[in-house]
Amino acid sequence: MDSLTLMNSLWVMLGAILVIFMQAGFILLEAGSTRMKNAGHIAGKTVFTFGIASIVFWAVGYGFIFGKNGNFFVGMSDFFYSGYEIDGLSLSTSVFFVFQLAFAGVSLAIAFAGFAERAKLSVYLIFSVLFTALVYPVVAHWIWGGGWLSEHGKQDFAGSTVVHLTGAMAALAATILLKPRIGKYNKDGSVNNIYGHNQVYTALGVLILWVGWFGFNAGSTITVEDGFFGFVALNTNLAAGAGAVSALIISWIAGGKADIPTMLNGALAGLVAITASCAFVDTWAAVVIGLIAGILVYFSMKFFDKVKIDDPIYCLSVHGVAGVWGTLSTGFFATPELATIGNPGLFYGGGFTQLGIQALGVFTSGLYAFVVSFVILAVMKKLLNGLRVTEEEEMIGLDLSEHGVYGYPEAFESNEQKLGS
Amino acid sequence: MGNPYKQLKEWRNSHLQKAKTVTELNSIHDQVMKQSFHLSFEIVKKKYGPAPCEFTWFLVGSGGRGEQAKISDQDHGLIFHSNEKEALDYFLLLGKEVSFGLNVIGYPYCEGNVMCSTSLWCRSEQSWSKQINKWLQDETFDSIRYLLIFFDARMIIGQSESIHRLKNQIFQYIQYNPDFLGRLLNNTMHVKKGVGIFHQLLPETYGPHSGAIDLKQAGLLPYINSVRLLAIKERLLDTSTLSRFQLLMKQEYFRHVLSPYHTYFQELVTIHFKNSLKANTYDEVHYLSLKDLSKEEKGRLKKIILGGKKLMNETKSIIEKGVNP
Repeated sequence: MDSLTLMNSLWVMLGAILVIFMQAGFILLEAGSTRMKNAGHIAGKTVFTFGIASIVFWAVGYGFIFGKNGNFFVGMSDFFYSGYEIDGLSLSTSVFFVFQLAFAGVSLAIAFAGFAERAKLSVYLIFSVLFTALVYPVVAHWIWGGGWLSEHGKQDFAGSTVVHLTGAMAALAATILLKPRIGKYNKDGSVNNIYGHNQVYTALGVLILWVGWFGFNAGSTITVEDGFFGFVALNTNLAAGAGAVSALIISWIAGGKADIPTMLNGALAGLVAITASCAFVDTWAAVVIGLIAGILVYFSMKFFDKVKIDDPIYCLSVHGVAGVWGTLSTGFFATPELATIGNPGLFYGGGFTQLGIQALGVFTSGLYAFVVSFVILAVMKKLLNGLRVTEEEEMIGLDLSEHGVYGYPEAFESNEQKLGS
Repeated sequence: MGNPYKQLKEWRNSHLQKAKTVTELNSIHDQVMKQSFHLSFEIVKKKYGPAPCEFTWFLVGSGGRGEQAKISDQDHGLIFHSNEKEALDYFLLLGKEVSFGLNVIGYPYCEGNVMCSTSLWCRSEQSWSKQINKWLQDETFDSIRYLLIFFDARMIIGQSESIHRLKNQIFQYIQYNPDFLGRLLNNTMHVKKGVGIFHQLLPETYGPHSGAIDLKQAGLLPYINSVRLLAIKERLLDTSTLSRFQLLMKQEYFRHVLSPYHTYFQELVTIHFKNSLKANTYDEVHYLSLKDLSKEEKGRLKKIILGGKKLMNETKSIIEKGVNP
């Protein structure tokens, strides 16, 4: 192995580790944004669903995305990958595999944000398998695996569409089928804010994700050549910062309060949006993309609440709406020098060509992810006699109903028990 | 014996519906509370004999200011003129019956326990004087709150003199410790935002009152708190916000400064009163739905809410500069 290949492998391995560590960010983000009675369940399911995703991705996911002899939807080789090297890659194939696996795991974690606080444990188990086998690989194949969208020159550097929008569309299907949590809406149609139990967890989760994103975006360069990963990391950080700032300002201007959860979602929205465009745009454009993402996320959060779609972690806004915006943004801002795939954007004399390709990619990928996830979940609903735990179970919390023990046992011990012990 | 409060409860419910102004409404509340106290007193007298000494029962909160809405909780205290332990025991028993009776009649218990059924709000005058002194010295968040609450005390049964003596004690302290007014000011400076930076109304966004403005927190309280502070500064004993306004405005300086805010406040009280007539629960009383307002009404409401904020700033600068008319 020559030294460049070795360096590339090391760099991408570091990226893979960072992206896998993003699961820790999701645990804190999701647990902090929900109630204490579900905290242990949320933390635990994030770990075991990543385990399921790893095995399924090894068995079929990777082959569907990158395999040869493919059809319109997927590739058809390299199943049960055994660690062999594939010719023509500038890094170790097994490192590339682990890196790709980490992305599939992130997409699944995003999807599960839409299930929070009400789905049965069995739903998590089964959907982990089906999403990692049938939903994620198809979109990833279309855009990254040599499928029809990559032939059109669709720009999605690290996965605003592939990872984030796909996850968010599955989450949308789930929130629609699961229906809102008990207590989210009043009889007169007004909305209640079900506050998360620990804002510090939520903020820490966001910060871990932010750091993990350097693996996600800068790692997606796949090579250390020319040090281009530094530029990608710079754009990533700028967009995250801009998203946090604009979301805080808009929440203060429009709602009268400098809202912390909105600001945190703004940072994430900036990161999601820049994911597609981080390698194709100038630094000033990264700031603009992040600023717009932060504003969009605020109005999107309000919108979903209003149309009675209960999205507990606001993943539809953060990963869905910002994912769409991020993918379209290269159609505006991609520069001729940086657009190594596709064409320059509208603001650089590229006309509407790239914007059209981006829109087509968002629409078809989003539609596929939504429809297939919806069908899978609708069938599961029928077979499992409902996707949702019973009303009583939801009230006592999933920690107890699904796992038999609370994540915070002392907090829920009754006085009686304390006296008795 | 049946429920002694039942008849009074029925009378109250039928008469409150008929009130056409805030003054009328509060005069009914006063009558009901007075009558309820007498019923409670009779019950206690039958069980434990007559009161061991003279006493004064007073209201605080919106009742003390004569600004109660149709539905309102109970806030009150009691001063008795004896230092015997038996007197305290007797008046605490009376206090418990009074609170119970008011709750039966339709004034829910005060969540903050500002009721003469608690030893904090049921004391001999000497003990009250010591307590007020302690609150003045402590300068903690709670003690400042209690002083501000006490400052709205209005006699319902007994004599006003004891209340006035205790309030004068506060005035005297402030005369020698003028910085204390600043402490009182800081305690009331935080106000719920009702209007955003683009001059848009900021209704509730979540919960059963979504789309409605919290008239008490965003509207009334800035006026009530500001005028109370100015009244303390000017050593005024009246408790209603409107009469505090009027007394302050007898002075040339305040007439000039307060005139527009006085008009805004009168208007706000009317809006609040009319809106509260529609309410069915204590929770609903203060929320005004923006859906029912015309463009002009919304514009006026914005001016009134912003007026409250401006008045707070004026009050702050008057107190911080120690301006004397």
